[in-house]
Amino acid sequence: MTTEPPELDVFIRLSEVLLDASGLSRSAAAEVYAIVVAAAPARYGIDGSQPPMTALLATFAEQEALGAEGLADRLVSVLYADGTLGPMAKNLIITWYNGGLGLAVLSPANYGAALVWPVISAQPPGLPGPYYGSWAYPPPNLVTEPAVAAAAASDGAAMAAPVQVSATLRTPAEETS
Amino acid sequence: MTDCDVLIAGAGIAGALIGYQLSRAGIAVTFVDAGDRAYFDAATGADQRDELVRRFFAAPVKTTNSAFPNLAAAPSPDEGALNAYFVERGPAPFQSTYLRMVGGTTYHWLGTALRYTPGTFAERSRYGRGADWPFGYDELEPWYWRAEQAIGVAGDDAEDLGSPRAPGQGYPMPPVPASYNDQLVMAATAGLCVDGLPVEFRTTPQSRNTLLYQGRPACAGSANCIPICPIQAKYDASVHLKWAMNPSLDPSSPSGARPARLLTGLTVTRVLVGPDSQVSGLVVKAPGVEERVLTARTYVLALNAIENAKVLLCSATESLPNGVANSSDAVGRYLMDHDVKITYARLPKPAYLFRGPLSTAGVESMREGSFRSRRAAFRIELQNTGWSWAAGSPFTDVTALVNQGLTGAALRKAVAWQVNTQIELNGLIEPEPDPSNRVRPSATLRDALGVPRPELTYSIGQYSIDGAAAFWTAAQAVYQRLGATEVAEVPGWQGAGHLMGTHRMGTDPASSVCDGYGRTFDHPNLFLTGSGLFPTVDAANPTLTIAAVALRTAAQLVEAFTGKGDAA
Repeated sequence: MTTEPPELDVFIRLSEVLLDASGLSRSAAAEVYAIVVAAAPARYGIDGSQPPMTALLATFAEQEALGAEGLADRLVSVLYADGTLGPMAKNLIITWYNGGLGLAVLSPANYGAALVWPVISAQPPGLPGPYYGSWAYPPPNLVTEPAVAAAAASDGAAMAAPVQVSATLRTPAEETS
Repeated sequence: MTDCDVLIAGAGIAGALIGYQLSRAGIAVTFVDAGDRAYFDAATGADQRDELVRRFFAAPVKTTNSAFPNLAAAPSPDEGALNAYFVERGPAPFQSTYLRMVGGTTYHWLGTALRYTPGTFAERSRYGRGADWPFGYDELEPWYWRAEQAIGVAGDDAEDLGSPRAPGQGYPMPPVPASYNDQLVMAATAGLCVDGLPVEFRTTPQSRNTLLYQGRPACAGSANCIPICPIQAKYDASVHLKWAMNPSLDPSSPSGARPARLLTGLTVTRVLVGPDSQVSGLVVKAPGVEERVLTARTYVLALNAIENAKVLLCSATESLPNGVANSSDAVGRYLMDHDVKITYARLPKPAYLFRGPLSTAGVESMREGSFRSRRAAFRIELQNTGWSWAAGSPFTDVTALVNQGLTGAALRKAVAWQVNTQIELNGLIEPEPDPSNRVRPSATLRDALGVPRPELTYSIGQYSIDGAAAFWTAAQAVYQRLGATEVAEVPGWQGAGHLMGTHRMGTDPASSVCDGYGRTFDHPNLFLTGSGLFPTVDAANPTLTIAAVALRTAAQLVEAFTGKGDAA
């Protein structure tokens, strides 16, 4: 079990902004945190005095303090301009989506937390689907072409419900119950 | 005094089915397997795969063997480190894997349960290619039906897929529902013909429950047939091992059934032959202990096409310099796989992938015809998992889109669209048996137990290359009907996990190793089983044929031991 870092709450808020998600699992978040830290350089900054994760969370806190409006866009432009913090943010997103980064993976208890599966309207392989034969029918969350969705939205046309990242991430225990 | 009546080396599907039938007939059976333990409790019948499923969850790379322990004392080849066990001598790499564990490779098989076409059994006389089997389709047909019941095949009785079914002998379960993806492809390709052959996508007969069967549940759509079905809706050999070891668990057990013994953690290293040409024992080895010899009246080698051949060749002595059962010099030769061509494309609308069994439909209508005198047959397997094999989807899609700078809702929509509009069609290409494709025990390289590692010489012949070209033409025609774009072929070949041909059966002891029952010509009490027996194959996956041939062998053994015919 990964120990909860003291900055976990900030890390979860950062993750939620980058992912446009809410209700992320704390247990999974602690593991994602550890994976992102392990993949980052040892030190950050001109004098190398700061751990990169501290810098990442401090940068987020600065942007967060400026207000919720436009936070995601501001944050991404600030982080992605930075040759260390940008790749860390990308690693954070990839780890949440794929349930791991390279050879580092979430523990079996958090296997079901990988976001890519609900995003593509599937479930993590090895955990059961919704009902027998469900694969013969389209899933409840239909998928639309991103460019088409953007064009239609700007026309004010009614759109099919977009895929939603599960607001509350399911745990394996809930999946199998 | 022998240890048992029949000693079966290898507790995979072929060994389990034979051992089960013999134990039902009251014959004393011992299984010996290199696997360190069974993943079930033979006393209660409780399945213990949870540990394997957790291992899969924890594996960073989800290879076909990622749910299973890779034992130092009995290594299994794994895609992640193929050369750690195989000694590849080329020119092409042999890329198929297997599992050395109790229950064998059925733990990670896909579950495809096709019969071979009648022409396959007479490939030499009909097409001038390969070799004829020692029996025809008509002889094996009743055993196919019994095999379908034994391993629980779900299929459509109305579709014979080129392999005629006897009247009234339907599949034991209704077909697996076609995936949404299958339905899109079936609708788009209606009436399509290529090179005069119909391109008919049909639901694949598969050893996957669609009803409660043998006490196992219906498929829950866990989308994880490979490497492990988490609920055993897919058949694996533990079903018949359990019943053989504890007949009280078998609902159809006869009163005279005799519980079989299972010895684990023992690697068979050599076959001993007495002066009378009868096999006198199997030498087994475990880490840190002296070799010992297990004895029986009759022996069955059911390891797999590579390990069976390796053990026979490792058993060479002064009087048998070619190895055991090898007066023909055919042991280890004619190694075959279904070399796989992977193609992929982008669909104009979502197919909603990664749901349900990994593949539920394919084209079986291009496996038989006079073209087999010129080029290989093929079958097309339609994947329900997008470009997972071609490109590592969906993980690689995520990584690429994140690296393009997408975040938040834009990333979510892009991933959903990009993954769900993928299609992958894979061609399983018929191989032509080639004596220079072979397995030998390495003269210098050994595993941790000191057993020679398998050295593989392998090439893909022009017959298969021409078959792959025909497949590519057909795949492009399918993609065109679908309005697909980004049509591409993955360079090179992949392995299908189908190990075949290395101890072929036949009618002539000069050119084959076994008769049609798997009895070796050289040693009357030594039987070989599994797809190593197949002198030729068509483009279909081999497991149902392994089961059918094993059941036919079992009946022969029961008759020999009890004087009573037909064990089924």
